[in-house]
Amino acid sequence: MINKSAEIKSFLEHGDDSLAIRRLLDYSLEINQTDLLKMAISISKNYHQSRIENDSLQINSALKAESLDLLDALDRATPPLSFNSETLIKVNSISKKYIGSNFSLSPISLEINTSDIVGIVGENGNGKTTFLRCLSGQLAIDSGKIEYNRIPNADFYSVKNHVAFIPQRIPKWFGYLKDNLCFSASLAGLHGERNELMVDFMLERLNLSKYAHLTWDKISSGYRTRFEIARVLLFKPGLLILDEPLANLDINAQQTILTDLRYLAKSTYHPLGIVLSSQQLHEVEKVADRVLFIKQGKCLFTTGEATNEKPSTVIELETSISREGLVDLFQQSDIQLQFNGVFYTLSSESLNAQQIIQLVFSKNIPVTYFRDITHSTKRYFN
Amino acid sequence: MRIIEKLKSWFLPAFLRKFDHKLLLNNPVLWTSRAHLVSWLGLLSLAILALIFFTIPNDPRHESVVYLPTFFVLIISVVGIIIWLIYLLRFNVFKRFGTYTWKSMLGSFLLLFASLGWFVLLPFLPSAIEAYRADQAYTSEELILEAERMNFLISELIYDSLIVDFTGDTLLVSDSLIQAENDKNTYVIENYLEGSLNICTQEFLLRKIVDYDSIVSIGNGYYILLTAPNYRFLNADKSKNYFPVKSLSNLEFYNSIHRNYNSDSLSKWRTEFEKFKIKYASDEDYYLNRTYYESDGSSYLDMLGIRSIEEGLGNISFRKYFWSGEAIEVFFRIWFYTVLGLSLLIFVFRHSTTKVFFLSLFVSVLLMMISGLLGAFLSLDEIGIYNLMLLYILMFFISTFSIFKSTRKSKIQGVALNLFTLVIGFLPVIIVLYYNEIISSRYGGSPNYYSYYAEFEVRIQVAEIVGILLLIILIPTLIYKSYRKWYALPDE
Repeated sequence: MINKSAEIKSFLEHGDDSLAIRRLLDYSLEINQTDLLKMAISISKNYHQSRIENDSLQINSALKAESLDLLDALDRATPPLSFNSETLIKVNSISKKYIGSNFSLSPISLEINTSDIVGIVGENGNGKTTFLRCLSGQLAIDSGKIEYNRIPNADFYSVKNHVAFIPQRIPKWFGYLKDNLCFSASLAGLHGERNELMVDFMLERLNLSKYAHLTWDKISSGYRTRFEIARVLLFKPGLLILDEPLANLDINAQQTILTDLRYLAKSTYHPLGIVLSSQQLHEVEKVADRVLFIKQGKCLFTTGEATNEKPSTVIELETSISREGLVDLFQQSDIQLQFNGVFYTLSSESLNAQQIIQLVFSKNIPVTYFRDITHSTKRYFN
Repeated sequence: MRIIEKLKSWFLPAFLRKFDHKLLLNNPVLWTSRAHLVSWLGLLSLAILALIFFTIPNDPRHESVVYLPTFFVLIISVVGIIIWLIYLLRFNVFKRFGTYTWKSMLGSFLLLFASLGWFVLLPFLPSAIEAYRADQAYTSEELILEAERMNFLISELIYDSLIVDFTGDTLLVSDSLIQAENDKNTYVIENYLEGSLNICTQEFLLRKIVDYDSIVSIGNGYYILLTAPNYRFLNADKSKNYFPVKSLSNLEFYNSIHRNYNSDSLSKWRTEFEKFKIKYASDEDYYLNRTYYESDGSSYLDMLGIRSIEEGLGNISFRKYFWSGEAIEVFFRIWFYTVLGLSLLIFVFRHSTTKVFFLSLFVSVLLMMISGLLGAFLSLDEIGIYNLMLLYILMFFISTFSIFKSTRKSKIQGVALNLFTLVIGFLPVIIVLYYNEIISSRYGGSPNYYSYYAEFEVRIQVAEIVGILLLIILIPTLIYKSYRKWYALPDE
């Protein structure tokens, strides 16, 4: 707990106020004392209000002092128990074939524990959504088995209560955003004051407060995604499955959502497993514990798992030098070059990434972009 | 937008909005049904409409034009249902996979029923108020006694034109002849036989004699049954069902007219009659010119120009007793089955997918067409049609049960489940009708059938109640489990 408190204090000290406020909210929820949670919500509201009024990202000194006081109070409160990671879902060789279509999902196995984040990547139309829909019980599987460990022998109604699925195209909802959240909280068994408290918390946590009294038509698709996350989190699902959650978000929002998902998965208040598909490989790889690469319905690669292929170093490089110039410069090494129209992909069996970059700099090659994708699923995209 | 908010604040007071918010936080099933808002607005509408219909001038003596305000209120109700549906369909507890127990499903159905009950009730209001106003304006006792008094006054005022001769029926009393007829045809009992001469048994004559004013024996078993002229030009017979009063017999009335006639009292009687005329005459002459008045021989009424009183009395009785006796049962059935039908449709829609719901409606139309065609080609009688209906229900039931073995969502099962839910409440009524047809085809026209048929209405009522109970029992049990299982199953 001291680490968490210290982490938030550090954020405050270095001006990462937005992150500090979000983490303060998380910390308050983990302590789970109504008065402290209310204080955290109030601080968050004031912070967002002051941002609108002052058009500044910085927290004012009074609010900062209040946050530090709250941190002290949280530290003094009884610390919550830490959670033991448990298996949420065991997927054994599930496959799916659509009637009247050539596409089929080849057997895939997977095990997801609480606090795990699993990324599913792959090109469009290669089976990511099919796999996620099978996982969530939306789509019938042809073979294999899915075991939901927390709800053995449960019917699909319970499965759908336990596994939350957020599709890429979020279905339209009606009425006000806040009413929808209160309704979802009520369905999840949160009643009375607790309902209002948790809805206020979610509104603040996902920065939705200023949209609370707006309807579907009046909020952007990015906020619709945030709303959907808030809604399903109120249900406290064991497993959260998101299909392309980053598709409608700007770059900042993508970072925020991914960071939030990482914290949510590991929250001691309600740890959960998260599976998400995305085209944003690097962003997903940063937060995911494992990433599955699916191509033409087959899982070709899972990060962290040993493969039979000989490991080679793969680098992405953007430079103003022509291809011929690069070939000349690298002709002494075993570096192979590929160009996709924007940047070059350099691969080598003998050199590691550091050696390649040293080589690049030693030959005075002007570099505008450089990324090591040796351990990234990106190397499998053609 | 501001106007809508203002209207909201007028029609939904602060306490109700607070209550609504409380329900949102604590009872999502009740909150989504909006039954509390519908009840409030239903009461408010009833009060406003009642005020309007009580204020609008409405003379009970005139012909009722209640269909106009009824149509107006019906439109309000339809608009109300549409607005309610817009709000109702925004939130669905069942489809969110939340905490949805058998109690929630039963509660949803009952709340739908209660909400729709208000909407369907409103169009009955104008006629109910009209009946109430007529009831307050004229009592049954008043109508009976004053109609009788008017008959007396009319008779005295047109005394010189009154028919005084009795009319008679000649009758031959012969037990042996009747016995002979009975031997030929067991269903001829002791009624009059067809022909120029009426024949009956001794016992029948004794029983029937009370219906006549006098009897004269002319020998050899022949009798003349005499009836005094009817001087009751106006009647308030309907009122007698609601106010028991012993009135004079035809003969007694005849005698009272002739005994009390006094030409000196004519002017007094005319004044009294004019007062009644003002009280009861309808000033609408639309019906007065109708041709059947010209041919029915009631020329006395023309002489006094009092057809409008007859019209007025008829209108008063029509309005006053519109909501009495069997009419209440009829209105209740119209209300109940309209509400039940709509509730079931919305209930099914809220527990099914949109596609499967409309597919179910399509299949039901298709089944009706198939049944019609089968009936036409195979010359099916009513029993054949009932057999088909029972076969369909059995099919729906089997398909519904098969859901428990399914691993993926099937549209056929969904359609069967929807149709099963829609028709199961009517199964007992179908069985009673089916049984009635069997009895009718076996014993139709025989005394046994008449004794059975006497209980038919009661059997139907019992079947209706059993149907509702069956539905209420099945919703939280089989229907709940089936929908829960079917809706959550993964798609193909």
